[in-house]
Amino acid sequence: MISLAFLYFFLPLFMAAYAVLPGALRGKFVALTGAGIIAWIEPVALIPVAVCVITAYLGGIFINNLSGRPSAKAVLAASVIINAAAFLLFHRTVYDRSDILTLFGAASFLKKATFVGMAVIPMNAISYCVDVYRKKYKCEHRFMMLAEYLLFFPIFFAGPLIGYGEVSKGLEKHDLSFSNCAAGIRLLMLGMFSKLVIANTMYELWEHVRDIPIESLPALTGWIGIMAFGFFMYFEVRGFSDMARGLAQMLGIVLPKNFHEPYRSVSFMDFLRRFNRSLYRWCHSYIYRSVRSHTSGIMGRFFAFVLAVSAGTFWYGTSMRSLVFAAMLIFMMSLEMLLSKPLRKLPKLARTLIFVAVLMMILPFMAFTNINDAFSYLMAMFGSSMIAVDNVSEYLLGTYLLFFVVCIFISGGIFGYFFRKKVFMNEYLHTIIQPVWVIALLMICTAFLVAGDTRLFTYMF
Amino acid sequence: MKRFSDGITVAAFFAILAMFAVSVIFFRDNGSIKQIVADEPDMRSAVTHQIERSFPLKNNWHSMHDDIMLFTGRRLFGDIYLTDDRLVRVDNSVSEDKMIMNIAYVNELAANTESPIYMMLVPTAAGVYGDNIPEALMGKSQREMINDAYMQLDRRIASIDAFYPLYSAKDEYVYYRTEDLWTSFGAYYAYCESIKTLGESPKTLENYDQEYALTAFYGDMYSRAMVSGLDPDRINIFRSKVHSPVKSVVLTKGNDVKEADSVYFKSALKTSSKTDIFLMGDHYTKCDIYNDLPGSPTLLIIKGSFANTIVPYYTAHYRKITMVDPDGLKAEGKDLSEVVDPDEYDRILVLYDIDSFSTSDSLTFLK
Repeated sequence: MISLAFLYFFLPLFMAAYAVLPGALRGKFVALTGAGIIAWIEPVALIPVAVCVITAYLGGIFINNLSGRPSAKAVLAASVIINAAAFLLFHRTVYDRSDILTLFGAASFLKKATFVGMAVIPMNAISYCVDVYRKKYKCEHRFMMLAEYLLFFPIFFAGPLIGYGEVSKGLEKHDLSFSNCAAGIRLLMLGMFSKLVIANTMYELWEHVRDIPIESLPALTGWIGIMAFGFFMYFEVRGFSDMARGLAQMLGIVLPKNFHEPYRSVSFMDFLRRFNRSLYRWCHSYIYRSVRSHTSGIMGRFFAFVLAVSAGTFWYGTSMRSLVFAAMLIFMMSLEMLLSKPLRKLPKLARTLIFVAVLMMILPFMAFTNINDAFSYLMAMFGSSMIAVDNVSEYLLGTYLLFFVVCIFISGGIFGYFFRKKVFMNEYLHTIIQPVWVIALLMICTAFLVAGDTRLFTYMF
Repeated sequence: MKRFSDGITVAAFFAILAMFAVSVIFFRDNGSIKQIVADEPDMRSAVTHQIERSFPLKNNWHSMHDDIMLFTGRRLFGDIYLTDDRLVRVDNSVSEDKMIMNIAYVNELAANTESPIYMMLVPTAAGVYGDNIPEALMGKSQREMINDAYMQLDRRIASIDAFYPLYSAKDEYVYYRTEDLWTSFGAYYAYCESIKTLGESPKTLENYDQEYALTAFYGDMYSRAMVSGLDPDRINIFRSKVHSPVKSVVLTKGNDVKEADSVYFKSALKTSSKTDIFLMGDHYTKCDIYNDLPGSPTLLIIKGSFANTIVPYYTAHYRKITMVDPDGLKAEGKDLSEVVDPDEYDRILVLYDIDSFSTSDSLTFLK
């Protein structure tokens, strides 16, 4: 999704074909395009994708037909296991090239292959089977309809994860309109801008700090680096998620907003609800609730909670760093629960500041694959190198200050506040400005696609 | 009103996409599709790279990208740093171990030859304009590195200080603003210093006519950091006011031999590497310059890129100058002794910029 080929060739050609095709064929066209994209990047990846789609389709039908009988549960379990296995084996992040085998210290599975969509297709397949089992909706007998849902390529990279019930109407209608298309273009460009300009710059800064030997890393540089990593992660996932929402809206399908100013959170629980909301909903609905329904007591609740948080962090890479980060999150949230009374008495701003500071302290465990490196980095943030500031800290702060300000404004909700207050909502001004800033974003993104670091033109998680 | 705005947004967006897509198709880089596909590992890379290569207005996009980054406070583009008025290459790959090893090769050369041997390590613009670069980006100072290198030289080798004359003249046009080389003026200051150590008197600039070979060019560093507002460079060459001593120039690389009657190759101005006007840059392994100065000594130069600009001044003092490029020796898999006999020369000068000297893998071929 991040290339000149996608923006200048694939997108106009695809949209032209989509607009020309009769409504009944549009869904099939989207599904075939999804399969085509997977094959274009790595033909082998079609095999696990086909397994997920067929498992979901047959699983849905069997679960529906066997509804109320114990065998329905067995079919559901088989579908969930197959799709979970596909996710664990084939979902690999560019960030650390990890898959489930690296978790056990073994060499990565199918090292060179890139499996596009494997973070999303198995998750959606599981949610579909569980929803059918829960009788949230009837199973889908039309194979192409389900294939279209699972092979809906705009969400292949960072979601948002959507339930079949949420999009089935949109997938049937494919309502093309100028207003949808314009709104989609705006989101697409904003997402691309987030990724190319902000996330990539923050990643470069993080790389710069990461390459400094830990023993000579000044405390301030450590904090700058981890802030950069936090912003990189947010704008990376949000950028791709917004692009997905934009592309979907251009096709006439409105997807839910996936982020809501996460760095304005007052607690870790609040953070999980705001950061990648569709992932939170998925983990809550399909893991936490499922496990809770089979367990009881506080330990059962805790077990469900641990599973849900672990699955959520695994979505950002099936490696040790995700497990350790999940453990950190669980510990922090448990602490938060214990201290909930005194924390609630604090002003909201103080709670946000405490949350952000603690988050920065546990982020090294997400940033480093090796737990010892993460621990050393954390120590350096607290002055283990006996250097508080050096010329590198000053240089980085001076060079990236404007980016930090922009990141804080966006992720902290200050831009959002102005939009909510309708400060920029003069209709005439809006009419003139809207096309101008969309084209300006297109120009900026093109400049970054031509001259930016091609290494980073990919989804890192 | 909203519908109008939406319509304009959609129409303008797709019109721009289509316009550039069409120009990529019709104005694509030369080369058959078969050849393009054959050069790439797979079809996907072939298509992606072909679009990237053929995308219109590439330099303008590049310039826009760099200007945006500059606006946000970025002054470092890869390894190129933008000071107030120039681009400077900040090379952090410099290795002291490699430098020590290269000094050992030079010492070995001195031990194996009877001819007096000299060494001039030249600072790059990063060394001279280091005060304008944040300390965080600078490694060890070039002045210190040069001094350290000279300290390790065999006592038979005479060192030549090029740092002080260049640093003293740093407010003049001694380095190109957009190319990682010194100008003819910079080379002249180093020439004055070096020729005295080599036992001759320098010619003053009054002996030369200055010619503007190219008045506006942007060098290689600019292609990596295309920021607006930088003044273009100019290439000056100096020709002797009286009869030029240069009789012939013979450039050799393997079986490829090129002959000329001047040290300036104006044909290079039509290529992308304009500074190759000086002795064709680093394209040839060996360069023999024969001068009409009977009875004067001969000089062998073991050279890095900076030597090409200074050699025209040396032609006033030596009847034969031979330059040998260790990178060329490495490429051809030859040792120095297979190309020249160092003992045939009256003087030997090792001339490198400190960055190249500390990163070069080629001095092992000085056998």
